[in-house]
Amino acid sequence: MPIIEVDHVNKVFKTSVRREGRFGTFISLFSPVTRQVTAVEDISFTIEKGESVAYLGPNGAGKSTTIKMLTGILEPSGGNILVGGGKPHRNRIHNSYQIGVVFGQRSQLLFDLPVRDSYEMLRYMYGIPHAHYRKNLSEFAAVLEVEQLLDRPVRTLSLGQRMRCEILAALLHEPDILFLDEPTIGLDVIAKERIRSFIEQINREKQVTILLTTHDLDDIERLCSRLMIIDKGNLIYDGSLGYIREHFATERRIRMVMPDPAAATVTAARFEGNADFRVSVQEQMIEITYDHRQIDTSELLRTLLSTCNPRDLAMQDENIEALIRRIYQDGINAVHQQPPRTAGGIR
Amino acid sequence: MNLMQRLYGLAWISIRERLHFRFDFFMTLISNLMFSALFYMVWRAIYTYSDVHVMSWQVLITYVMMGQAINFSRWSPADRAPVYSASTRIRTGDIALDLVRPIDFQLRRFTEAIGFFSVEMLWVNIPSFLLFIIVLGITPPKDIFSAIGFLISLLIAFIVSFGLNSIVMMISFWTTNAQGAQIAKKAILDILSGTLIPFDFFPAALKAVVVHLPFQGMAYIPLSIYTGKLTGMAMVQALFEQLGWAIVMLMISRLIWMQASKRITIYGG
Ligand SMILES: Nc1ncnc2c1ncn2[C@@H]1O[C@H](COP(=O)(O)OP(=O)(O)O)[C@@H](O)[C@H]1O
Ligand SMILES: [Mg+2]
Repeated sequence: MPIIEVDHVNKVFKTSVRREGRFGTFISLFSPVTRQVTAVEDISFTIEKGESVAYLGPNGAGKSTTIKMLTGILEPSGGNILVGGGKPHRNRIHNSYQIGVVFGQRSQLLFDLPVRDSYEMLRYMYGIPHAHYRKNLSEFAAVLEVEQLLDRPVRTLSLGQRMRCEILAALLHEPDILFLDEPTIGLDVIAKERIRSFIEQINREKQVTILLTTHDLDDIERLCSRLMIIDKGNLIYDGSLGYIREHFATERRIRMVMPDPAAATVTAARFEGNADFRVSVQEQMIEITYDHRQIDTSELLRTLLSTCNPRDLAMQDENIEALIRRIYQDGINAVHQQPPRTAGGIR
Repeated sequence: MNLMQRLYGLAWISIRERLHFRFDFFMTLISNLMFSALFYMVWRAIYTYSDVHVMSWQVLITYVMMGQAINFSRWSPADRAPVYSASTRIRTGDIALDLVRPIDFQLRRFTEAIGFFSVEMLWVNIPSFLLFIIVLGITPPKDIFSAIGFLISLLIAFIVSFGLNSIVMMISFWTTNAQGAQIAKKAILDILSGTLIPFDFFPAALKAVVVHLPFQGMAYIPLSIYTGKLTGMAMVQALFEQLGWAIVMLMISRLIWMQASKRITIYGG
């Protein structure tokens, strides 16, 4: 049985809008004008125990709203959610023992006290047996390298240090599922990497199920075998990052530096006629962009090398981030439903 | 760990949290003593220049000074901090995190209030009390029953006060700012609880009203027990009345909290 089941879930927020004019606030008090915002339109997915799933989408897509429904903070307006077999918002206390939550933009630590006191607080809140508490704290603190920070007041920590402490806090009670809402936001490369390797480790060693929202593709690459993309409240992709790269990132680019780019232009002209084949010349550099499903790369390279004598050559796949941006903008169909045309363009 | 151990542990954390602000409490003690001196002089003037004495000077000054020692409407960090931090959490949305904890939000606030109240007792109430006994010569409770009755009444007063603070705190769910409500609360308490002026000085009509309000549980009842005005059955009856109000206040705040938490889960705060 999946540990998380989301079935046609929908969330509509009603917000009251202030009326215009001098007495606007006053009138609104008695006859409020409400505006509906659909944060999540219709989403279904299941996650198995031990999976590690990334949840990606532009700002306002509905990621945090989904996480809040899964944690029981928000009640869905429609549809069904089961986490560990129970409805999160109906049975919040039961749910709270099986989940750990980190919101990158919020803190669950006591601001003025040493970090350790926040952990003590959580120990009492969850009723964690002393032996488990000691073991978990020392083990996680060692891996996250926060031992030196335990006696420092939270307010003196850097963002990266604090975030590591937050993640530790979310795991002390040994939850089955860890929800992370933008855990690496605003962190530098090293801080991000530390957090990633820790998350990866607890997923692998302790089989903690992970659902994380992020804007950072490196997070996904490193941590998640599965990627869900949400846009405007709908799930537009659910699969692996590899699949996107393979099937959607069809554009490839070759750059060559040579004394006489004109010669190459002539060679390249032999491949033209394919819609996606483009050549541009900039002084001594020529850049060729093509769809690698339509043109055989080795064929193209052989031809170029034998005729042009380049001094330098570089090849590049389409930037995956740009690709995902394209998915957001144009919808998945824009990148998905181009049927591969006749393979190979050489006549 | 059973629930009691967990709540006890949480209260301890709150005590530790508050002990970090020793300076705040020290300042509260100083300001409390200054206000006490002020009220002492005012009452002294009243008693010197008037001859309508509702109660003897010794009883009066014991009542008024004990009122300052246990003042529940004091502008103190113990009182202000939980309300302030809760309304901040509501405004910033951090309250969402409190909903994913296995301890009920209000129960957690209660343990916090116990912790803060303990620290305030230690740093403000008990030192003030001792100073009043030694310097002003106020009267100690007349017998062991009054003393025990007073302590029980003080504990119940704490619960009434917690209920009232909870209600004030939850108002910030709808107004996003608890400051105004808190100022109003302080003004109401100063007068209607009988902290500053014993009910016996009130006009009969007003007195008839205030003895049917919950606020008396935060000053008039414990102080009247302390000064020996309420003894025997009258004391027991007053304690039950106070307890009744404690339960009513808790229930009201509970209802408001349930409404507020529904609002969070539906509207997202
Ligand atoms: N409490 C709320 N009240 C009204 N609208 C909200 C509320 N929370 C989120 N929204 C709206 O719902 C949409 C999705 O928000 P969110 O889930 O936070 O997006 P994401 O986390 O993907 O950036 C946004 O348009 C946002 O403005
Ligand atoms: Mg978000």
